[in-house]
Amino acid sequence: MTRLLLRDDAEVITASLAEPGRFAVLFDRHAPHIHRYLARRVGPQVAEDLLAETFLVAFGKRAAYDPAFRDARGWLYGIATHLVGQHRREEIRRFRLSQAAGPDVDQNDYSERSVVRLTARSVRSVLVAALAELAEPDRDVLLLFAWEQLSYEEVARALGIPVGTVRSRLHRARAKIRQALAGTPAAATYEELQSNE
Amino acid sequence: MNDLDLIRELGSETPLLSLPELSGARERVVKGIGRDRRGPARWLAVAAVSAGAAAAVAAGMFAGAPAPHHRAPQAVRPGTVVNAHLTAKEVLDQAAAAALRQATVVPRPDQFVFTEVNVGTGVVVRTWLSVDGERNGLETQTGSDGKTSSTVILGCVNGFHKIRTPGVDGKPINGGGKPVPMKSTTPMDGPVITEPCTPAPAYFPDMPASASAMPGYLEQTQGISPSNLNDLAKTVGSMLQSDYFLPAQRAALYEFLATTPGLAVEHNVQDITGRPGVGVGWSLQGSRAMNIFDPASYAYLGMTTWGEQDQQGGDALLQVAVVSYPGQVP
Repeated sequence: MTRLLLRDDAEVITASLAEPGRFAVLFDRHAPHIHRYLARRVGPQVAEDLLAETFLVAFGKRAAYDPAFRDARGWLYGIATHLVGQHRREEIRRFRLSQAAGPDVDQNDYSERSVVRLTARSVRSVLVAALAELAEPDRDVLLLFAWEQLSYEEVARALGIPVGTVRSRLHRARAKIRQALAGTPAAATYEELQSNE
Repeated sequence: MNDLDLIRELGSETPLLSLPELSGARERVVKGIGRDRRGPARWLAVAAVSAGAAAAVAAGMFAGAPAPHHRAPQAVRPGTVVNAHLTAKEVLDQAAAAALRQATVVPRPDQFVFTEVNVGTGVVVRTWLSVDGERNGLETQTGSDGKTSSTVILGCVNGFHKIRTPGVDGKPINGGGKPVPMKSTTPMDGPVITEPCTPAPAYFPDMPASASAMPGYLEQTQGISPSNLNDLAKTVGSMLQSDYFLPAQRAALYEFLATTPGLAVEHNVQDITGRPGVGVGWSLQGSRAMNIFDPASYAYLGMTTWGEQDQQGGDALLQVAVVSYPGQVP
């Protein structure tokens, strides 16, 4: 049986208009990364449901997809980000809890690495608080850029905003983060520990 | 290490799952594709879990995300009081009236809102949130194995909270230079530092006590569109499971929800712990959810959700109380 090779996302989406089942290929290609993005923002449990919702929304909108964009990643991140916006409460609560608890550190591990991680917790707390206080549009841009490594153009397309707006939002968000981190004893200690590694 | 590096490091705590680990979501998508929807697909977020559950995962206390358990709605136990003639609006109005019969107790800023929520899969989350958000709170989780883990929820005083850093006897570990191995079992006993923050109260004195003022308040404070039934009903459930409301505030919340089109009553249901109740539910694209009330007292019991394949999730509110200190159980 001959199997049609669909080389890029645009081909998959176009093919799925006639054969809807082909859309599952898009899930297989991008689901892990979209899920991680959602889990980072709203936690793993909510993320799994939003992941399914992201692809179902995408499926419903596939007829309007512009095939000039061969990679659908930005499009999917945009849909996922919109869904995160509907779960702002979970995200803020997640940030709030994260301020108090970082990854577990082995209490019997006294290595320098452990010391760095413990100190990183206090930096983490400042960072998480600063992220929570960002305006939602600024946070969307910053996290797509920093966590998902999208380019300015990809972020712009994902969020449906001009590239210039991406730049200004990113600049504003980073300035606020840096301001929050600057001069904190935790940050100073952390930098010092990092430089001593 | 710059700000972007720090943010990326924060993000690196979240693992990249493999496709087999996402098979549940894939199955839902494939099923949705099979229907070949013409319009924009909507999915009822089955994970309308309590804030406690989401926070539990955020705090890294679960080895993995709790899987929804599969269980169809069960019939109510014999002898349960059931007002089978009531509509969804009437159930909510009854809940509002019941709330108004409660004594108005205004919590003091130095007190704590205690909630106990069964989040399913045998996990019970107890949370003590500072009334004004300015004192350290606490969250504990007890699994089905009886093991309990706890997390301090930092209070925020005058825009800052205090964190004890790694160290011994109030002194930093590194002693101002290269880090040295610690010889104590109390590694977080270093200097106390202050960091900027925003208080997160568990009681809201400015919350309106009238249904007409509620949509504006919810839009502003919860970031939802009050006309979106799914968002509204989930948010109301989430608020009721984590925060404290005066009777008039709670009644206003119910009364406003009652005015929203699309709700349906479902009698003779059980919450996830098996308590009998009356459900005020809604559905989207084959999934459904409901806020559940005690059929006799109309006290709020929790939220239960069912996915397209009838997979059940949700949580049950076991207790809400105002207490004097974190860890105090009424």
